[in-house]
Amino acid sequence: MHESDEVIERVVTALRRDVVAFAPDFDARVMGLVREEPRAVPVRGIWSWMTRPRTVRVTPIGALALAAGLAGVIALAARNEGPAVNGIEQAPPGTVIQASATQMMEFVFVAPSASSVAIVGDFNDWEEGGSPMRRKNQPGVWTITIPLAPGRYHYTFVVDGTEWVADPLAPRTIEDDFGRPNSVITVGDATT
Amino acid sequence: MKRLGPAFLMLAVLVGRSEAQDTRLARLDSKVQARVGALLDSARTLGIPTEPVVDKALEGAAKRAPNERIITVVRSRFNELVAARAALGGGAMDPEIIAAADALHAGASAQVITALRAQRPNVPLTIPLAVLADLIARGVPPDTASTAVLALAKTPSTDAQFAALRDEVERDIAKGVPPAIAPSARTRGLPPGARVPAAATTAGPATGGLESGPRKP
Repeated sequence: MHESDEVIERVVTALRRDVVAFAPDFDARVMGLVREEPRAVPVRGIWSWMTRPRTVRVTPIGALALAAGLAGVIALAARNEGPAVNGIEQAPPGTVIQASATQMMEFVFVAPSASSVAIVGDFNDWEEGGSPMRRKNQPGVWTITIPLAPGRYHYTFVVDGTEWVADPLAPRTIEDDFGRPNSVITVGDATT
Repeated sequence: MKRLGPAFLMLAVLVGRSEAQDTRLARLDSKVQARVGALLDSARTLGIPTEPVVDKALEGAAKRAPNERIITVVRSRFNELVAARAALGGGAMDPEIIAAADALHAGASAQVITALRAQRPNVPLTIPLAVLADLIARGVPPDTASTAVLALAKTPSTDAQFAALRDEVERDIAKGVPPAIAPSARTRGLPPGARVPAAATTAGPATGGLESGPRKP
């Protein structure tokens, strides 16, 4: 017999000798105690936790930050509600001017000797360089089509990147604010 | 809660910055930026559209105007928008306010705008106001242009009819009719609800030009 077998034999003998005897009513007592414990209902537990009054310590700066944060979230939500299309805010409900009333407007400019023509205005934020126009089939005729929501827009043409030219075929603004005249386009609503 | 405080504070700061700053304004000199930013805050408080203010500032920058000139023009634009909104009354839509500001800028009176709103309380005034501004821009005296537009507004006219009035007056002026009498020639003897300018049936949504100006493709 190996040494390990002898150890195991000794352990088994000891266990057989020290048998723990439970009282006959052991099971009944345990089950009785279990029944006395309150039932664990998850939903009621969460509700109880949420509705249980408790003291929350907040510093003044913390309270201010919380209020400002909530106000910021509300402001962000409000900003997203009324989309602006080139400065034309979406009309309130019940009005005839809607975002869907955006119309494709074609601008035409005649400049036979120009190597490039662009259009800048309210609708492209007066971006440097503007929106480049394309040569049409006819020589010297430049065109571009821009989607515009109902509204009134100021614009001008830029020839060869340097010369600012108002649209000769459109009404100009009455006053030249910055020394270079603008033209005006008004887009109406097709339903009115 | 102690952990949430700084997070909310950071959120508030970020939101505040995004509300106050418009990245497009980076094209402006810092001094102009600050002045325009203050006007934009006022515009938001007063409930007037901010985009025309931004547009005017960007136009000045694009045209390389001096800073002081940009500030003067932008402030003037802001004041016109405020006056336009007051003249139109509550509930005015942004396009109407912008068109009314343009009419004021052209030389129309606030009283005319208010009268126009009174005549058409539930109809968008963008096109009638734009036509008023355009007529004045073509050299028609403000009083004459106002009378013509108000006369047409008394009838159940459509935007196309207002645009047609403008096109006809412009055509007459191009033919040599003095601007001071061109509108009256077109609106004389206008029976209430009966007059339809000749071009009204073919005129689409208003555009800024004549036959070869901006148009729907």
